[in-house]
Amino acid sequence: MQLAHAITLAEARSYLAALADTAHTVGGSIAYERVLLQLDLVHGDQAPAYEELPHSLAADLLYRLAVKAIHDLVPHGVDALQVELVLANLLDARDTDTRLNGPIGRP
Amino acid sequence: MYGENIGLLRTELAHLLRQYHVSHRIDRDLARAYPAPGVVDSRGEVVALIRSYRHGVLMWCYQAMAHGDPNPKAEHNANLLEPPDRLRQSLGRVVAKNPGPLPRLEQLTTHQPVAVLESWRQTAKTTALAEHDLARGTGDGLLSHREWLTLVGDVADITRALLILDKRYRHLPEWETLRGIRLLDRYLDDCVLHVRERSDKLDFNLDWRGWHPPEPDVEPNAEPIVHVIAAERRLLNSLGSVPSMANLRHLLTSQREVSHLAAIRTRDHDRDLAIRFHRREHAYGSLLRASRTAAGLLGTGAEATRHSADAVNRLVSISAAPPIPVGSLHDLATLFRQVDNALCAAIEEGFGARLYFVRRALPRIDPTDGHLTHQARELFDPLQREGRTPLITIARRYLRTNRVRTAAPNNTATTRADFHAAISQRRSRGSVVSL
Repeated sequence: MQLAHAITLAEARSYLAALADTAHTVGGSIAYERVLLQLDLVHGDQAPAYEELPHSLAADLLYRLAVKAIHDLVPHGVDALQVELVLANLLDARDTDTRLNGPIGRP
Repeated sequence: MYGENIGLLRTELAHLLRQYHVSHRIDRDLARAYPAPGVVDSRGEVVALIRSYRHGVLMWCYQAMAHGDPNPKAEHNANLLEPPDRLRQSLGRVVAKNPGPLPRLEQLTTHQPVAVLESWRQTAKTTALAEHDLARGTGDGLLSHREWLTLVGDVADITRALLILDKRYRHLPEWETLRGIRLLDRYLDDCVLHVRERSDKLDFNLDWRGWHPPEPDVEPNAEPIVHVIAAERRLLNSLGSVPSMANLRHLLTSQREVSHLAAIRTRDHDRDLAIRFHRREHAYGSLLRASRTAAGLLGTGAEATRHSADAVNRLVSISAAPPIPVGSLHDLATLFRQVDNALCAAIEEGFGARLYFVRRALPRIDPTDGHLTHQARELFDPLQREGRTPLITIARRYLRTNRVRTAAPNNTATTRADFHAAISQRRSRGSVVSL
């Protein structure tokens, strides 16, 4: 894994982790966590650590940053189909999060 | 099951033995069959395929003789060999002299339009399935002597059927008759006589042996919550070994989801229980956050992950409208506690055995450090050290409910000393023997 690839992956992981931490619902948090797991699985669990981002960032901004970071993985040799699958799951997770069917609050 | 497989094998071979003018039959079926892609369309291919099916059956015969024998003979003294041993050796020679490709998986599973070929496919498929019986109770010297005799009789019959068919098919173009069968006929006769002499001893309980599908541990039409409890119980049973970190994270996610779903379904019936489930969900959330920085490729846990996901799927399908029996929910809570303890033990063992590691953040240039020459920013998490990893701390704090005893009970030393004193017949201090 090249350094640029690792940095992109670390960014994507950080955004996903921040999304999971600041989700509105528990279900949404779990869904984001699953996307993170899937991203790690695509890399065979060989990924750098994530960074704690400040929780004040807007969810929408985080989502767009995450999508961009995951898209940026394609030039580093990650399978494009896998990337699209991760993105599709991310979209699903976002839908789960905006639907308030569980207790509200930070998980 | 052995009886099922061999019964099918006998039926198909008998069906084949009843058929004459095979060449004519093959031609007729080939002309009738709609030439679909992937299906054989020439007589040469049909014959080649029959040969590979025959090889599969022959191979099974040899394997059954080689692995089923409860008392395999080690010595090479020919005088001590019994007819079954000779048959085994002879079959080994035949297999060695007729090397052929075994049928491929799709050749075993695709329906063949030619009737003769279809019967051969069934026989080869049955022998491929019967191989699994050898590993599950038929082989490995587990048979009794009477069951072994039954097996020898079956193998002798099947081999004889193969020889007859081989002879009958010899006029087929591109057919290769079996080589090295000169003495096989005699050994087969010996074996059949050997078995028939002891026919009063045959034990057909052999048919029950072999592979069985696993029995479901829950009635299929039981209450849905019972299925959840059963899945959780299976998870608990499969947590004996340390799961790999990826599997552990999946486990934590699904357990968190189970707690969340259970809390939602309990909210209106049992407030206290719902709070407990909610607390558990919260604890697993913290654990998940801590496990994002952990990694480790070693370990097992695929089975546990499957059972955990199974529990989630079954709990999702239960609606909260008809209230779930509170007793079942309490059972679930008890199971949760046991799973928590097992998971905590697994995490501790994983860190102790150095299966889990902590990811390092990437060193980067920090442009905001205020110096003119920027240094690489160092963001290293400490590598695994007992008690320093957040994952293990959280696991101990929230998951472990079993008491950890750091000191021995109070009076162990005193009672032992008293007992020693009694043995050596000394008066213990403070007590006076009164006469």
